[in-house]
Amino acid sequence: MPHITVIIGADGPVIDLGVAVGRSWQRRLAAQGIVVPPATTVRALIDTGSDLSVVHPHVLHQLGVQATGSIRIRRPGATGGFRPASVSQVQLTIGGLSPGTQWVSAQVVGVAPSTPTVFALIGRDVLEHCTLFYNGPRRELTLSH
Amino acid sequence: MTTKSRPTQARKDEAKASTSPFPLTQELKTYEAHLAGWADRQGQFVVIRGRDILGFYPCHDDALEAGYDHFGSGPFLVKQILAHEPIYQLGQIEL
Repeated sequence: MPHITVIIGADGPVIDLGVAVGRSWQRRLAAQGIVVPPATTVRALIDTGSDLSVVHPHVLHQLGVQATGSIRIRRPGATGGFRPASVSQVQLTIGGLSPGTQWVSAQVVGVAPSTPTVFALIGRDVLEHCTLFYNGPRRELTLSH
Repeated sequence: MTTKSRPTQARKDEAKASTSPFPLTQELKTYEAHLAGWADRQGQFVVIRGRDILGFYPCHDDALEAGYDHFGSGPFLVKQILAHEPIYQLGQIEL
């Protein structure tokens, strides 16, 4: 089981996350001889308070990934209210891009994280396939996936 | 899939100004206008573009493929027909 250890900085546990065009659309582009937008790596906050993972709309735009779904969202603790948010089909890889990268298909919510230096949130839809060890005294988080 | 890049803060700020907060407003209106009449289609997935309803599908992947076939990369709406739609909680986001 691969594992990654990150320092818990001022923004919290932030990790590299590879984001790529969804598998189905990528296959269609390739079949038509169209160049697939290259995958990108962004800083992602491990956010156990999020039901779903989030990617900043600009990153999705950069990849040419459009909205193909809609959900209702709100922040934890909010009562009653919600707002719609778009959902897009992508592939993700924890730890960023490297030879032999293993991609997983995911539907991500296209909204902006509140931390300016972070462009994605890794929510519990992804974390449910991982083991986390939060070492507070050493300010380290180890993620196994 | 080998290029590594990081969006800059300037590009992120630019995106805030240029990115529509929700690109499926009309599609969602179309969905909500028809929802009451789809009681017999609970659990199925509908594909909508603007005011046009493409069809109903048994699973998300089939609906997504149909959407790509007809509308290209999108945007279009693939939505599971549910009388009671869940509300998802997202932690560190701008609302």
